[in-house]
Amino acid sequence: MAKPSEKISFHPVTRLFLSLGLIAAVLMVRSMTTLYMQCLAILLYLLIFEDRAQRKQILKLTAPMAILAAAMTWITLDAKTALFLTLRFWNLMTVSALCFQRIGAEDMASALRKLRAPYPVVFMLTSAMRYIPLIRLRVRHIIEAQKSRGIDLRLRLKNVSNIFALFLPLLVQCLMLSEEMAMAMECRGFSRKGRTLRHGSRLQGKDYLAMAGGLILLLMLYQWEFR
Amino acid sequence: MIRLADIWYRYPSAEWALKEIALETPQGQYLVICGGNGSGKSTLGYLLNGLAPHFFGGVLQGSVYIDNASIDKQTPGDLLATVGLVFQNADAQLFNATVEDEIAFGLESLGLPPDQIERRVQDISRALDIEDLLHRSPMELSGGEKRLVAVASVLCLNPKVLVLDEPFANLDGRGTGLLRKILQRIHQQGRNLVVIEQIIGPFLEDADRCIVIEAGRIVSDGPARNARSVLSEKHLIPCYPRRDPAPPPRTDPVLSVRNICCRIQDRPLLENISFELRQGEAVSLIGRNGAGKTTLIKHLNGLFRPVFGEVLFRGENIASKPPEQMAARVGMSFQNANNQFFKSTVKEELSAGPRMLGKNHDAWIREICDLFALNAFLEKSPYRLSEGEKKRTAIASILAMKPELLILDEPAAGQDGRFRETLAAVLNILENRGSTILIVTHDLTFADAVTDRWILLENGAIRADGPSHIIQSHPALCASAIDGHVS
Repeated sequence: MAKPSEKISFHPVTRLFLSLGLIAAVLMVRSMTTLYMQCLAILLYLLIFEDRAQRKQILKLTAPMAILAAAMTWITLDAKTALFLTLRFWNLMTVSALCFQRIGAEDMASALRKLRAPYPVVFMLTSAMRYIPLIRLRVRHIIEAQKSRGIDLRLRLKNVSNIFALFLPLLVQCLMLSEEMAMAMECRGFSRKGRTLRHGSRLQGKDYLAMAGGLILLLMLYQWEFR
Repeated sequence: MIRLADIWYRYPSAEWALKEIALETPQGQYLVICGGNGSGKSTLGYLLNGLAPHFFGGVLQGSVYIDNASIDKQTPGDLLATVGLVFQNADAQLFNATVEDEIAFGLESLGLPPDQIERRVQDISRALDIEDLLHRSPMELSGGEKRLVAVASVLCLNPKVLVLDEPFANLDGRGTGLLRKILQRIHQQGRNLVVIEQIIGPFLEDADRCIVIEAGRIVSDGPARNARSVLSEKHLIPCYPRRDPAPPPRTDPVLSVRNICCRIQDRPLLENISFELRQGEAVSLIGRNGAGKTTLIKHLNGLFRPVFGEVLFRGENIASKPPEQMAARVGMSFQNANNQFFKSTVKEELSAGPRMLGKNHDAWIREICDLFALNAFLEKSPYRLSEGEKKRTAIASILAMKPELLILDEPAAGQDGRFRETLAAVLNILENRGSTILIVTHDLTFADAVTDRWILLENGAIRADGPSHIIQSHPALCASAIDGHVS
């Protein structure tokens, strides 16, 4: 099924605002009933709107951390508190993952520029976001090269000393990549003054409506939770 | 247009990288700068757009003039509309979210009005035939497409001088042909072109002038059409010993690949691949960029598992064997040597693999050091070696594990002629000693120098498999699979 974000397209500022609102909504929950409802809503969203691969990826990311949190809180606190904290932690991680998957590097840049954040800060932040896939690719290549040399990098206690075989080449390559990138940016006038800022799209009526709706829902939740 | 007056330059805390460079080029000249690894040719390019010394620091003596104006005090940003530099590593040069933003970045830096930026982006993308890429992420593009976007992002600034650092490196025949045509067009427009390369190809015919740099000095300067003899003498055109075709060995198969298929997200990468490698055989796996060569070899040591078919090593299916276990039998060296190094000295790097396998190969490692001429820098950090030395160390560290099958992925890519000649000699010695070798390459001249059998891969399927001299006698076959020929 088409995701809600594919049916209505909002301005990146609106998307950033709504994402932060959703995270705030998870953080302000105090009652168990609301927490269950939130958890159910998130699960339904994952089942209806996300495809299998995406669902698997999100669960792979959030489930181990939630299990770890559950074990730690259960040992140190009581079962009820452990359940509350674990659900809240899982809700927070899943909502954050879903929201920030929807906001790409370019959307983030556009939203921050609209909010008049300094250009170098915006550029550095979004460049770092864009370089994550490239670094991921480099990590894969290093792992493959080391495995082909007989160096076991699987997660096992006996392989702890082998971890340098991954981190050292990665560190060197990150440093090389960042220097090359800085060189390329310098060559294309990054440090020049008087840069033209394109993509100056305006917020539309639907954006104001969505932000107002989101704010009202957040205030209602606040009223409900802190009544 | 370009005038370099008695230039000396050195990087911080280093020896002089450029010495006594004096050069003058008229308007519209196509200049080729050649030199081996570490000769100083890229530094000369950095000098033309102000990266040296303004980005790297260091000491510059003498003066650089572009269009009769001294640029000594100007930074790369100041020279944005005067000198454009296209780097060798397109991955680092392309740092925006879309191709459109990438091309517009320099124009935005110039402070041009948005409508003019829009127009220039459209014009350049039409001229280079990359209009359909405008809304794609540069990270998703192929190597050839990335190179075109990198050229577009600089060319749209209308620089008076365009400098390209190793633009043909890692490009297959088709990519090379396309880029060559684009450079011819730019040259016809009367722009100054400076192409920096370490391996000379057919593009030399298009150039007006060729200079050769060795150890930071210009050692030859003359018309490009007369440069071939000097370039051969300086090993910038590799000269390999003649190889007489030998019949295929009648030994047992070391590796049998049977009907393997590979798909990623429903996209077929390999289709029904079958072949055998026999003991003592040297084989080249040849194909265009993206033909599936690297994907195929990753199936041969268990890094990838086929969705269909099987890989047998000495008759045993390797499906259940992790690559770490296969390393003692199948040694694989990838293109980027920097992916491998994690020890503080070359000596430790060479013994890391055997130690991991619990084997003592000290005598063999000493033999390898002689073979690859590594003895002089055994105590040096691998990261402090030149590119050629790094590559030799990387291959030697794989060979140190005494694998029964040696697989080298693009071993000659990014390496100068002297290295290629040395590597070809070493591979021939190993073959004569009975090693089984598989080389992945799109350099047909190198493949011809080191192997007797070629496997041509096209769009994930084997197009031809047989003796190299027979495949070469069908130019149409070579042209369709790789757009290349043996020079």
